Amino acid sequence: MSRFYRTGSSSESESDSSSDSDVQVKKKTVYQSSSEEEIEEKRVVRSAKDKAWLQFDDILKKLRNALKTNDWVVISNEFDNMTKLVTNNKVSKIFEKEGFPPSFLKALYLIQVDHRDMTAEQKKKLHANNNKSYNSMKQKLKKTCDLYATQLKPYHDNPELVKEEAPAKDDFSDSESESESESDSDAPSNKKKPAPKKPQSSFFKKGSDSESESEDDGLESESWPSESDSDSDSDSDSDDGGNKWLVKDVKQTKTKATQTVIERKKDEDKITAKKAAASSPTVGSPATAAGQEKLTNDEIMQKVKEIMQSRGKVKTETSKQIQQLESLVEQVTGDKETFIVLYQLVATQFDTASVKVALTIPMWKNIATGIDKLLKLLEKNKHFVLAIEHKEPELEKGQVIVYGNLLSLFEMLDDEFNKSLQAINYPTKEYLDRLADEPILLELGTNLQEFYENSKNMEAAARIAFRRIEHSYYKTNTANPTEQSQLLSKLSTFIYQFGDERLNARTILCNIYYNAINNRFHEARDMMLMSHLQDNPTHMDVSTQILFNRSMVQVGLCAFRCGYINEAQSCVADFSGLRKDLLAQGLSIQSKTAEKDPIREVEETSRILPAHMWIPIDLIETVNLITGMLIAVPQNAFRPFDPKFKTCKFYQRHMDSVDRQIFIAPSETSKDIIYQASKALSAGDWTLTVEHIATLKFWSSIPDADQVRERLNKIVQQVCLKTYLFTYSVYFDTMLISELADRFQLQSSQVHSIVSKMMTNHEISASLEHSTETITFHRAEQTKLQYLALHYSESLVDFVEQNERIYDVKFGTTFRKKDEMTPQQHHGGHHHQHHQNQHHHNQNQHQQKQHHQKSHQQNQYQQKQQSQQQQSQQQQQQQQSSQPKTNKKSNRSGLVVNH
Amino acid sequence: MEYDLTKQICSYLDSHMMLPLIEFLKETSQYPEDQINNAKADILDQTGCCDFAINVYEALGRDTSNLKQKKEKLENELDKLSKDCEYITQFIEMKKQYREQKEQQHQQHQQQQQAATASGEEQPTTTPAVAPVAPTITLGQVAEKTTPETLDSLYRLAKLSFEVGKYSASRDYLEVFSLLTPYNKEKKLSASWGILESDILSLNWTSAIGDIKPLQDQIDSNGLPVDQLYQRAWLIHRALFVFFLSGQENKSMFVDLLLDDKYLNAVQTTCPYILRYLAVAIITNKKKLQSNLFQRQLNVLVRVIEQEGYVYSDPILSFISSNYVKFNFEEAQTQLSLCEKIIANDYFLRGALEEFIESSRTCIFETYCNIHENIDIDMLCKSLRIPSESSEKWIVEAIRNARFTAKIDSANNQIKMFSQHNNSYRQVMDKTKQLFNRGIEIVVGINESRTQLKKTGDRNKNRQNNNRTNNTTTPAAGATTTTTATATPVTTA
Repeated sequence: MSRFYRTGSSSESESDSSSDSDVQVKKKTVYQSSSEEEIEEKRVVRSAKDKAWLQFDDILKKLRNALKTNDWVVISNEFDNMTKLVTNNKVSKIFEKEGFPPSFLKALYLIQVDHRDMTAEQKKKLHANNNKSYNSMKQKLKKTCDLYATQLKPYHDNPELVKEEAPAKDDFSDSESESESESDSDAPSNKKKPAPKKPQSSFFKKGSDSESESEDDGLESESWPSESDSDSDSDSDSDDGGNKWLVKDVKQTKTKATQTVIERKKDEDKITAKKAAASSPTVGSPATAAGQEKLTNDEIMQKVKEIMQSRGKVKTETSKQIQQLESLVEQVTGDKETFIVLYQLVATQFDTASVKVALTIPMWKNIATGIDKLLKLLEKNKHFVLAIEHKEPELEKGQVIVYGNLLSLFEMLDDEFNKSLQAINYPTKEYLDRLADEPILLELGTNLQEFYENSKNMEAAARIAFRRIEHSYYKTNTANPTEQSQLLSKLSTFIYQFGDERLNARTILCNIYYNAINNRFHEARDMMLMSHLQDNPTHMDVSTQILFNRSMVQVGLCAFRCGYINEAQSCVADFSGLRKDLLAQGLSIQSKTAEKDPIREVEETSRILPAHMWIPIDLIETVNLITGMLIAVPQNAFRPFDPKFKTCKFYQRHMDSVDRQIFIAPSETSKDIIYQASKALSAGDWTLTVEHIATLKFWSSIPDADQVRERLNKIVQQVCLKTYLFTYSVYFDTMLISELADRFQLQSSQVHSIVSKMMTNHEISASLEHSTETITFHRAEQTKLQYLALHYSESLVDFVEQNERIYDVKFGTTFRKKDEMTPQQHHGGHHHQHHQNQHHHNQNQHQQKQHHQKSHQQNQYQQKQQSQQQQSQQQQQQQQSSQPKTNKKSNRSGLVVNH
Repeated sequence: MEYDLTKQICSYLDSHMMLPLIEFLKETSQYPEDQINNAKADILDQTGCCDFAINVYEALGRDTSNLKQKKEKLENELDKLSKDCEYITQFIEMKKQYREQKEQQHQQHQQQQQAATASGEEQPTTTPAVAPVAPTITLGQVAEKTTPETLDSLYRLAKLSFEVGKYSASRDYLEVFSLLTPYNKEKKLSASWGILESDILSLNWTSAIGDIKPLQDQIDSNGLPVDQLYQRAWLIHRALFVFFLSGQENKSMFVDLLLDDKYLNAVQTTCPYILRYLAVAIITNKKKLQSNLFQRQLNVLVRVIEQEGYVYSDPILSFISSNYVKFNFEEAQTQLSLCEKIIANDYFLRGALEEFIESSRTCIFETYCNIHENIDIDMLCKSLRIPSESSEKWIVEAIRNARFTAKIDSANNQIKMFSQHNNSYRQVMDKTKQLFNRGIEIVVGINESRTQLKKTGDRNKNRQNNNRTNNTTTPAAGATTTTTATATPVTTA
């Protein structure tokens, strides 16, 4: 049933609720029920409840008759009528108040029982039409009976009730109303209940099915046979490690997420059911019975098996199962059995989590102790062999197989830990409290790894070892750094030895990260080089890519701290701005126009790292800008017009955007401060630059800030010297080295080496004078015009090359013969001549051409003449290009025509 | 001794290859002799060269009984294995004979020819030289007969003969082995290593140089990155032998190998001391290269040296960095004098000492000239340690080689440098100079292709003419139309 219908009808019923008049009810029923009843009801006017009750009685009567004759067509019809009536909004409201009419329940029960008891022979006897309705009933019954399973239960337990009509009716209306009122008081939200429970829609069916399945222990024995065929998938799920878990979780959340309302109600229902069951001594569910009398191990095993089989199915209610299993764990004896039950319990406890919702903290802790107990059991009983389902290890004498996958349980526990951290705000006390649970996890990991190592399952041990690394590689201020690094190196070597490729790569990345945050730049860089991970980072899976990015950023920050500006810039450049998703510290920014991709969003959310592991984004950004400044400012001073040299995009963009502003605000943010600093730097004022940088906030998040600052200041001085030389050398004829050294507070040997380097790289045109220790500048730097001229000539070269390429494509390279061409020297002389010739030739150019080409094919000179005529325009251009001041536009157009 | 690299290098070498290095250490007397002898004995112990080892052991007064046993064992095994591979060894023998015969014949033939040209007569050779007997066993036959077992024993035989010191025999075996196992990559790779090492140890440089390239390819094509890294490091160490010992001119190949990114990476991560050899190779190669190529190599070298400064440094590298990074020429000079000793004591570099010193001087001179305007000749000679009488000649030579625009001012005893910087005008001229010609080339090409097109058009037209012999007027009209048709594009163009 669609939501539309539901909301519509509920609003309708609201208006109705004040007046409980008969007419409206009549109309409703007319609309819904068969024509026979219609007539009947028009005549008699009764209270709404009585009328409904009567209707059901009537139906029941007909059904009884039909059942006797096995007329399934009639049964089916009547059944439909009945369900329609029940789901009718008006009537259901009555039901809410009064409880379900016993006749309805009886009818249901009868059909159910009859349907079930049909033997194969009886079926054969049925007429074709009859048979069809019989089969369709099967479906309908399943839907409906599940809905009313609670109410039906008493009948199942005590079939006699149906037989004697009159007394049963009273009894039941009492007990039912009692339980109903209970549930009402528990849950005011129950009002909406019947509507979504309508069995018509397949969607809702799932929800309601699951409800009835789990809540009804009495029905369990009946429902088993029909479900046994799907057993195998459900229990294999529990053992195949993390991946399958996820799949299943997704499956569950599909229903869960959309039906949270129903879920909640289910719980309430369940409580009601339990209470009802407990209140009547005759009706006792096996679960509660189990609490009273001791079950044998076999029975428990049987029970566990049943629970296992129902686990993982959409309709299974986990919290119920957990309760059952918990009670079973208390009773069970024998280590093997305990293991099995406990394992099942832990596995089921995981079911309470979903992709989005993490386990509750107490549940998580329960699981942790559960796994620990499992491990202890295994350790206590050395003859137990832990095996994954479907794998039969070779047993030695006296060994016992227990099935289970502690590795995947541990990994899930770890994942859940992260997930719960994701959900908590950072930094709050709650977060820190949760974080304090980490040792539990790590200890469990240590024990588990030991266990797997002892049982020679190195692969699993390596995986656990990596999980342990993941919890320690990013920590900086640990109490005992040597212990941490020892632990890391121990675990790493273990993983390198036994882990698979992906695990190895991730371990290397963690180590790179660890080295980087401990200021071991060279080690980190060498590891990066050695591992060849940066060759094709896109081949990795996403989480490894994120780890790669994180390590890369840390290497960059480390390079910055150690004073390697270029390296820092290239490492960090890609990770500034809004790309938080690259580091799994936020969602990716989607354009407003693009449609949101919910799956992607969910994936990204699930990837987000716990906040205590984050690398501060503004730190990255500041480092990016500062390194960008130190690289770009001298570049801009050297070649102010050349866009090729603008390498630091992020920095450049920032500068440009501030430059565009009319009023520049006083510097508040670190971005503004860096803007000011760059201005000072490009003016050659290094002290001001240093002052600006010192006011930046990011120093507080850098360890050993003073050393780093000192290193950075040295670099600023050098960069400033370079910038100064680029910018002001034009105005000097000579400079004293000592003076420069003094101005920039550098040693004169340093100045000497910097200046010399710039000279040999032809960055400045100057030379040293040994005797006087001065720098002599030779000439002014390139002017803008010269730069443009050069640039223009370059484009010309490009243009000609382009032409050649087009030509080659069209005619192939074979026609162009280089050796035919005469050397360049003649060019100037010929030019005039051709120009004059052109008029002459123009008159009968075609014929001339033919003539030339036919008769003087070998005559190179002739040919050349001809071609030169056509190229006269290009010649002009050629001439002009060496004199860049001439009109360029005409040149261009000439070229295009030629082309 | 401080900068001796033997130990580091040896960690990447086979024990057989360590021996010449150890022997050389004895010559240079950097270490006490008994230490070296002991080390040599230990190394020999790992090899199968038992006789040699026994000699050394006896000289040291150690117990040799173990070695003798080992010798017997090895000999027995060798016998057994060579019996297993008899057929293959026959094949190898036969091939060898064939080759020898052919060579002999070739020589004979040459002699005869020489004789004939000398005597000036045409002597029809009445006695035809004995035609070389083609090997009766072909490789195909061998391949048919070899089972995996024999192949395996062949491999072991090769290994064993290498151990025992029969390098050339080992090489022969391995060559056949790698021919017979085209698919087992792993074994083939180790066979290639074996071939290279045998070539090195039997001082067969020409084929050793040839061995390196295929090995490079094999390393690139398989293995995990880490394995590749170490294999490359091995190859680099073997390349030291090949390129530095085979002759001076091969050093450029060493440079080429190392400047490959992958190998440079391997050097940086595993064995940065190799930079010393790279530096020497680049510097000594200076004369043979164009200045811009040399500059490029130098830039790479300087960058790497700066990067690796934190793990490895020696006077040779310090020389480079003081000359090209710090521009501190006095320091460069002192470093250079330290270099002399180190190079003389280096097994691979000793041959290149003079060349290196000479090249380095030129390097200093050139950088110095590059950044100075007026240079005092006396000072220069003193710092470069050029005897003052030959100084002028040296300087003139150096200036010419470096293509400087510089002149000697005899009165002031100075060199005057002129600006090296080319101005914008010049640059624009240079760039646009050949554009004209290139434009013409295109046009000529277009014209030519058009005439060809026209020719084919004519041919078609003729065919049409033949078809319509009766009608005489139309073809003419047709001809004119076609000509205009072909001509029109020209005008538009």
